[in-house]
Parts: sequence; C-alpha cells; structure tokens
Amino acid sequence: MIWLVLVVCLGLVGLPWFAALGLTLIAYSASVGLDPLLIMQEFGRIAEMQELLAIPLLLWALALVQAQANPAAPGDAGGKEGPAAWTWSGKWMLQTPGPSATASGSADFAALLFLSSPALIVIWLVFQTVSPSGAPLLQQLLLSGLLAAFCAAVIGVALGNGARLGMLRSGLGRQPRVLWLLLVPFAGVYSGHWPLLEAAGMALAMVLIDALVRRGLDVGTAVALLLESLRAFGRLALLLGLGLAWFALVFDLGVERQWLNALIVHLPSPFWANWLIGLWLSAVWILAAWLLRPLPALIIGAPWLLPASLHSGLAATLISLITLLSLYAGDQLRAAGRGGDLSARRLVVPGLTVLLLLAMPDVARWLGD
Amino acid sequence: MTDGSSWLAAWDHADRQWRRFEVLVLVALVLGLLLVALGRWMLAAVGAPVPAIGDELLRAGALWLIMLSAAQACAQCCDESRAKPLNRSHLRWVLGLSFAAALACLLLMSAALRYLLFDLHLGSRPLLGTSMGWWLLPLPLLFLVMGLRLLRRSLDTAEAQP
Repeated sequence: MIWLVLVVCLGLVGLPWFAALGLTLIAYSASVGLDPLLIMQEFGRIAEMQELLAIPLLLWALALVQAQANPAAPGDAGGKEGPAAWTWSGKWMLQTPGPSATASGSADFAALLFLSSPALIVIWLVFQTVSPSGAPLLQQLLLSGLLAAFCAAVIGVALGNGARLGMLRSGLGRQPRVLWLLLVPFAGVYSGHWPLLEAAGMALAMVLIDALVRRGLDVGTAVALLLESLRAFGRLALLLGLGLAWFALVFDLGVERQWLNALIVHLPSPFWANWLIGLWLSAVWILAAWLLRPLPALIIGAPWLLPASLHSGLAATLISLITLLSLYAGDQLRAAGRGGDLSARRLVVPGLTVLLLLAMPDVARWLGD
Repeated sequence: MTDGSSWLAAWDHADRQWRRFEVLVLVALVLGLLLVALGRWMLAAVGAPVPAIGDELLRAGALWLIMLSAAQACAQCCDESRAKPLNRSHLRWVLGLSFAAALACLLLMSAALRYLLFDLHLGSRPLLGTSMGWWLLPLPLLFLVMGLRLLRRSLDTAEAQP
C-alpha cells in the first residue's frame, strides 16, 4: 500500500504522472533488490499493442475533420461553440487542460462513446493486461459503449439538456460529407469486418483524400494537427507503458488478492452483491478521477479495481462501462469544482446510466454477445 | 565557449535541431503506419495472408512513434512552462518538480540502456545488434532527450530565482 500512497502523493504534488510512476517503480525495485531493467522489459510490451497505434491515426483524422469544419480556427479544439465532441474525447482522455473545464452535457458524452472512444480502447487494453482471460472482445466493448451512449443522450435530452445536442448536430452538419467518410470505416469495425488499425488507416486515408481533392486544408495546418495529435498520443502511451510495469508490481505484491478477499467474503446474495460492488466501483472511480484525473486514475487504479470486480462476478463489459461513466463523472465534478459551479446535474446522466446498467446488466451486452 | 550562457545557448541550438529531426521522423512514421494499415486492409480484403514482417515493422514503428511523440510532448510542456510567469513560491516548486522529473527520466534511461546491453532472456548477451535491439533503441535514447529537456527547464527556473 505504501507504493500506491507514494505514487499518488508524487502525482498530487505536481510531478508528471509518468515520472511519479517511474520514480516509484525504481524505488520499489531498489528496495526489494529487483533489477530495474525489468521495468523496461515491461515497458517494451507496449509495442505489442497494435490496437494502440490506431489512436494517433484516429486523432489526426478527427482533428482534420474538425479543422475543415472550423477553417477559421484550425487546431483550436472548440472555436466559439466549445470543443467538438471528437476532439474533446481525445483531449479528455489525454489530459490536456481545458475541454473538461468548458464542456459538459450528455450529447457530448454520447459522441464520446459513439465515435469509438479512444478511452474504451485504453480500458480494453488495460483489461487485456490485468485479466486477459476475462477481457471482452474490443468489438463487444464498442457495441456496449454505443448503447450506453444512446442511454446517456436520451436521459440528457429528457432532463432538458437538448441545447447541447442541437449544438453538436449543427457542428456535425457543417461537414457531413467528411463525417460520413469517417463513419464508413467505423461501420466496418462495429460490424466486426475490419480490425481497428486497418479501419483507422482507412478513415485517415479517406479524410486526407477528401481534403486533397477539395483543397480544403494546407500542408502546414495538416502537419501542425498531426503533431498536436501525436503529442496527445505520446502522453497517453508513455503513461500506459509505465502502467504496464506498475501492473506487474501490483500483481507481484499480491495487493489485488488482498482487496478481493476483503471485498467478497461477507457479501449477501449475488444480486445485491452485484449492486454493491457496482456502486462501490463507481464511487471509487469517481473519487479517483476527481482526485487524480481520469487517465492516471485508470492506470493506477486498474490493477486493483478491475480484477477485483471481475472476480466478484460482474461482467467485463459492465465493468468497462461503469468505469468509463464514473471516470467521466469524476472529471466533470473536478471541472465543476474548479469553475465554482458544483451542480449535481453533472452527475445525473452518468449516475442514472450506471444505475440502469446495474439494474439491467444484460443491457451492457446487448449486441456484444 | 567558456561561460554558462554559451553552453546553454549551444544546448538550446542542439535541441532545436533535434526537434526538427523528431518532426521529420514522426511524419515519416505516421505515413508509413498509414501505408502499413492500408496494405494490411487490402491484403485482408483479397484474402491474402499478412506477412510476418508487417508485425515486426509495426512493433518497431510503435516504439519509435511512442517515444518520439512523448519527447515532443515533453518539449511542448517545457516551452509552455517557460512562457508562463511564475511567482517566487511557484518557482521553487517548478524547480524541484522539473528536477525530479528529469531524474526519473535519467533513471529510466539507465534501466533501458541496461536492458539493451544485458537482456535477461538472452543470458546477458546484448540485445543491441539483434532485430529486437533496433526497435528497442529509442527507449534509452529518448528517455535521455526527455531527461535533458526537463533538466534544462529546471536550470531555467533556477536562473529565474531571485
């Protein structure tokens, strides 16, 4: 537990999260006499994750679409209408400041999930690492995410938050052709016909060809957007790479098993156990995202929370959705706290969706199975 | 070059050159990745098997892409903190934290270097020179670059101390 406290403290005082993880891992290896080259051995495994390579291609394609939709402010995530949902989804996950502080609303969140959220890809990769046998297929996860997105959008509109949906629609309406070009490859991913990397390559190629044919974008802007997307990807991948070594450390310490024993020994019937563990999982993720921000919270908390929830009987797709929704809610609370607007409405949509998923767990696996 | 400022100017100049190199390699890598993705898609579409060399290339490209992107992100972070005015108490924090982050990078660099030189699975034979060694090469190299950038940032902060 001391190592968890150490990494959280180092991060909270302002050290970059990758440096906090690196220093903790080196301190741990020195204290138990492990060779620190094992850290690099774990880090190198990130190169095996080919799905991760889809993220820079997707981010660049989405940034290009955004730049064509808002030619007056290329590279600006939001312009006057606030961040476009796709750019925002990348930025929310990748820790750049701003988007979560200015954007909220169920429609944005719907798009966050719908556009094959990179966050779902990261959660899936984490699952593959911490519990390969229990990990769902990526396609299952994306399909489940789609349903959660629709739920969130419907609840959001019902709560009178439709203005944001209108804003999103008007944003999409500016460049419907480019958007359709981007969505066509996703149809291949969702239907299970194309692997993610190939589909991301297709999406990027189509957007690039479209921009070239219509001369809607100059090379300088395209390269600037590429670099911006890559910087975001670099931050994510560096953290995830050291996260792999962190996962190995947690399993080495056996902390995950201690959590498990403490959690599931005295639980009541399976139905209530699912409810209790689901709510507990949601609360811990909200707190962690509020305290640490979503991505570090996910990397640091995953080796404890995901296997513990999985072994308690919750379905992997359900856990993934609760994780995503709760991280989002925690981030929104953090943004609200900074802006001085501590409105409970920010928690309503993800909160209701979590409750809905817990009440009807099969919903989470609607098409995935 | 005898005084400190000349050294720092030379350091900054070398960093600018290296950043240009990073951008060139990154653009080439992403275009290469795009070609590989499209090639694999086409092969799958016609039902042909994807050659094993494709996986090896992706593995190598992935690590170079990740580390170069991280180094670019690190450079951007340092630029932003240089441009930001800081008060006295913040200066101490930034100095300490930049130094700690630089230390983390340099320690990771040394671990990566040892990994390249003494891989455990190969019975202490060096990985450098094997095909795996080439795709692992960016690990020590770019952790060193990030460490130096963060060190430069802490030197900047130290200079700004009243």
